[in-house]
Amino acid sequence: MTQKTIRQALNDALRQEMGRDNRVIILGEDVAGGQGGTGIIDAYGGPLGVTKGLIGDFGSRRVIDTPITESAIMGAAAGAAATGLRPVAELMFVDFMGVCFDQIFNQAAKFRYMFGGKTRTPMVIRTTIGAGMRTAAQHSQCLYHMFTSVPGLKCVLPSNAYDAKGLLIEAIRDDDPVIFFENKLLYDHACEVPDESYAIPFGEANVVRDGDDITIVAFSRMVHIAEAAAKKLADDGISVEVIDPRTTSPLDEETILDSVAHTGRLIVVDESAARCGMAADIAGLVVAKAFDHLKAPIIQLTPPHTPVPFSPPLEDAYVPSADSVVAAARNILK
Amino acid sequence: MTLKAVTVPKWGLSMNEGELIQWHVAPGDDITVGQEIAEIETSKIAGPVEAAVAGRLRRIIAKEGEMLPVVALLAVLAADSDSDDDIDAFVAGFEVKDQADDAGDGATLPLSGQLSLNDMEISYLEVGPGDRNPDLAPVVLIHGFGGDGNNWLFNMAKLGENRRVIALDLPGHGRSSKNITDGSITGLAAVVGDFIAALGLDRVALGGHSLGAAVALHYAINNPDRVDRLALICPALVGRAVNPDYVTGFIQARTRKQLKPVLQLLFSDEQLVTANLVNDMVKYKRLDGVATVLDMIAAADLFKTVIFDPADIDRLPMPICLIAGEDDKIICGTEPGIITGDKVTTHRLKQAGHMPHMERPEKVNEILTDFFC
Repeated sequence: MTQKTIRQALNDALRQEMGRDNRVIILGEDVAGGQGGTGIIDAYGGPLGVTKGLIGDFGSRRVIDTPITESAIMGAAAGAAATGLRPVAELMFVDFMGVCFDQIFNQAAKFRYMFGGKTRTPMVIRTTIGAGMRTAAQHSQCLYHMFTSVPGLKCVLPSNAYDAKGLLIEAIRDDDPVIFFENKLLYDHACEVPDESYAIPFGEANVVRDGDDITIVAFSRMVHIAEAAAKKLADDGISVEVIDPRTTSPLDEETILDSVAHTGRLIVVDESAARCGMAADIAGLVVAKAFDHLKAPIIQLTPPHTPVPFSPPLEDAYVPSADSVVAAARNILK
Repeated sequence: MTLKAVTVPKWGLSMNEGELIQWHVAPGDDITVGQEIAEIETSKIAGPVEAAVAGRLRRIIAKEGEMLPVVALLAVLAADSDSDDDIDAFVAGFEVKDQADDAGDGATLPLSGQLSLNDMEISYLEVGPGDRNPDLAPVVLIHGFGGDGNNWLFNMAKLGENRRVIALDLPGHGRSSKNITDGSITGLAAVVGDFIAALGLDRVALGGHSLGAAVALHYAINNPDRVDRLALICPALVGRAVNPDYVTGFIQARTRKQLKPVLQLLFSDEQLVTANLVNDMVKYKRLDGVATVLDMIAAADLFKTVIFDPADIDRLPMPICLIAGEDDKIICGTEPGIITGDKVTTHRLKQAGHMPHMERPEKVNEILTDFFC
């Protein structure tokens, strides 16, 4: 099997779905050309190169470069979806979603409900998340928890290339609006990815590593932080189960609750937010449904309740690290 | 030099490393060729390491729980006259790379190939030495429902010591195309026939497992002059029903949690179903087209008890070897079925379920090596 990066895996998914279904279109800023492009056919494909080459294969009627108007991108995508296309809209940074909340929260997310189930909104919004790129407070947030709390939206957080391809194919085939969050630091992360098409169902967590002493639930890039910590802890005989929910909405509660029932200890590693984030959400779930199994207080490992700092040392300290996970694990076992 | 290296075996094309689970021997033990000396777990399954060389075990290098690359040094055999310094020097001078090159001459490493047949691609694994015995017909191995050529990973190197061995992926399985037009045994046997013809093989020895055994038998009945010998491992559709819970469970399972208990039905020892094995199967089942293929195959013949006329089996001219697992939970019942007669040799293996070629590879390899020669 071939090793592919997340960038290549996403490109695979888009190309295969566009080839399979001519209702699939792409729209966004610089998705055709953009920085580094040498012409419309050999286009760079978005600020991060994910849509590279697609305009050459599918033409400018299906790969649409938009003006810098986030509200128009999302409004056009929602309308196109309601009329039968399957748009994949790209918004460079999740931080910019604020200017198109109405199109997403009030329009796309509500169509199916408010039209009495008579319409579907099969749109995908691809966007980037995550600190660590030295891009300061307005380009570094992880706002997936906000979208998770809106009924009518599905939220997907791939942590590896195999999942990225299968989850994006599932997102495109899904009849509801799906927000697809890509961590900026993971695009070059590679693993074995089949050339063939496949879809990974939403709401099915991946048990990255089996363990007996502590359950760690982690999202997106934090899965790798948790794995690195689990390896260090294994050297000391501490056995950690790492769970990657892959989607926050729907959420695979059963896998998390079963694991906590087995280990009795839970750490949630979540880059989204210290307040009202996924860590708080998962902790609330486990307290409500698995309280009797808990042997120790749940640890929520999140960034502090501050904007993402621009100072590199502060930015590095802001994001949970493998060392902070190891320290949390030692605390929870005390 | 009496010093000999015991190394991590390569059991299949996809195996790059394995975790040493347990040693079965200790320093001072005398090892014989073929003895099971350790247990290694790969990304597919756990299996026994059989000693390829004989001698006294003097030094254990690999620790239990250690993840090791293929052909890494596990242990050193040496005579009592060899000093500890000699062994130290041997260990220090042992380079994995050199050994890997040795293993790459085609003797043990399966090569993978692909053939275009009509509108589908059929993948296969192949082993066989350059100095193969031209009098021996090549062996073609056919896996079962939901399996692939890698199911033979413990058998191919051994069977390929003196002849060509080819394990194909049936359509809809492994790396072959995930589209079929006919899911019946007749349809699958036609693809196998095209495959054998495309490889230019006049006569073959056929080995089939479960559904693959029914395919092999169908081909043999229709091409008796092209099949030298026929080995049937836990054959389906020859008089005993296939466990319907397995077939529907395998088709319907979507998650790791749902699939694991289904896969455990395959083995006598349920511990052999590792997390990696389950993950690989879940990944296979997610591929576009697989669900349709499995449905088509199941709907065509798999819920029948027998699809062959006993008279056709009586008329077969070639010797038949029947291997069954005593703890088989997939092929139900104890009746002998219709594979009977003078030309049939039957082996019933203890501590083996529906996958004796994976669970008791040393025994199955011994039986098949004897039978095919």
